[in-house]
Amino acid sequence: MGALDGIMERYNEFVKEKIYSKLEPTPEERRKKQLYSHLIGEPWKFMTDYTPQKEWIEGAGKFIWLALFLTELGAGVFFFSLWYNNVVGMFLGWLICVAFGCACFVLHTGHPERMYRTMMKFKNSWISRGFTFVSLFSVLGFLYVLYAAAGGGFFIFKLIMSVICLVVSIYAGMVLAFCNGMPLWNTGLVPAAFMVAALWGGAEILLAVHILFGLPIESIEHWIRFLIPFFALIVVIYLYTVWTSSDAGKASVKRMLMGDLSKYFYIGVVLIGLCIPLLIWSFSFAGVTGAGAKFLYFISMLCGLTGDLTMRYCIMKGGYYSPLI
Amino acid sequence: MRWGMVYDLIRCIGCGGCQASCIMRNFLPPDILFRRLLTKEISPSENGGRAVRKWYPVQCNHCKNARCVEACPTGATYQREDGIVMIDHDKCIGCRYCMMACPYQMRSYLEECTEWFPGQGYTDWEKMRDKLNPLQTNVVHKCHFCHDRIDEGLKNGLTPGEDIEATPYCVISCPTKTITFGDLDDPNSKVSRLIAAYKAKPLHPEYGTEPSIYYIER
Repeated sequence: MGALDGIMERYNEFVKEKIYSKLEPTPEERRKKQLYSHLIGEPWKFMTDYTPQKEWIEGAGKFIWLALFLTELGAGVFFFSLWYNNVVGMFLGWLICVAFGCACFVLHTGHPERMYRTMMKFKNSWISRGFTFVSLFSVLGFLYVLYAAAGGGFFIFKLIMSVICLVVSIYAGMVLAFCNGMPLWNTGLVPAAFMVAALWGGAEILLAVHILFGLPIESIEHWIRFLIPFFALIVVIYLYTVWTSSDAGKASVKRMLMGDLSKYFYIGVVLIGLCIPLLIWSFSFAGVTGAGAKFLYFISMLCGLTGDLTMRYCIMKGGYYSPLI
Repeated sequence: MRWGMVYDLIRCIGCGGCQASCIMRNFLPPDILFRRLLTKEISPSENGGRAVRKWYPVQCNHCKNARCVEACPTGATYQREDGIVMIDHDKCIGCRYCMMACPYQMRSYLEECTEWFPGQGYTDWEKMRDKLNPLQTNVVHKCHFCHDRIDEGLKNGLTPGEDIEATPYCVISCPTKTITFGDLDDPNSKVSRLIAAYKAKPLHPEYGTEPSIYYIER
């Protein structure tokens, strides 16, 4: 029996070394599992726990994130340029919205050759409405740029274009707010936050254009001083509303503030997107002028756009579906 | 007429037969599923000292007020008169908005038909897909209630839910008869009687989508 014990011991050691060691996860596998556990949960918890949406933020889904950002930003730039009669700004806004934003949307779709069909459900679908508004914006906006370049500035045309710009700058938020399975998206504050962010980004870009062309910037400064704290306020109210709305909403906000998205939120949105622009614009109250101030305004513009883009990323990435059962 | 299903959860043993038959019938690649089998574990502290595991077979709910139909920008997703929510894949642009809008997450985007056994080529069964049920890629797919069987059956004077030839594959493949299929608008149909007798409920009625899939929890 003693000899057999020895053989069994050796056999057990062999099994432990050669087989069990392969079954046990390596430190790298463990790290990956830990890293992604909050995203997929445990496999058996799929759809029975909070399930993150992935189709609109991972892989080709990143294009829709960029498309929603760029179309709204372009509309924001066009809106401010319209009222400041800046043809360069208008053209820039048109370019950002139509050329870059639409290109991203096309890259996101699986069958771009069927894009013309997108206008067919204007009555129901927010994507369809958005596509129609952007198409309208692309045609009328381009004509208005030519008209404005020729010296025209008829008030009614301006008003019509302003309405189109505002509608374009709000549709992306409406697209998200329609999805009632995700409490983080399904709130009226998403369109509001997106529109304010788009207008703020638009004002920042127009300010940069004015600085480059040596045009007066004082009145645009006032708009930006108003829009930054307003955006911050909307973000705070939005997060609070979602937090108190439902358990899935609370989980989404928790993920944004304390989970894997917290680094994007605190660094991208709070520090770069809000604190730095707020600091720069509070200096502007002190009457700081000259090349240094203009450089700071450029920094503020870049920070603002980064903050807006990161905020949209956090909202799109942080969308949790409510558990199904 | 509005087709619907009732799941009697006490009968479900979680064998996955419905899922397997759906995969076989629709020649689905490994990346997508038309129906899933979810499991929920209820701890003893939540259930009076007794641990329970429950199985929930889930699929497209073919909602009366389908969010996906509203969301689809091209009209690719539409609802038939009998309540079945369908996708016309030739119209789908693959924007995936319907997937975002469906609160039940019951839609799948098919990028490519990958092999069931990676690196070993398609099996004979996978090769048959192109002939019998070609799946379009870069579009969204979902359960269609085996509409072709229903239509063919009705044409031949059969009753879906009662005659095997006219009933969805998952229903006839269930070994424990968990799933009952029938007309929700007919108060005398088996599904309507089951719903009334056991107070069956759909998943998340608060979404207001009026799903056509009901669950009996006893």
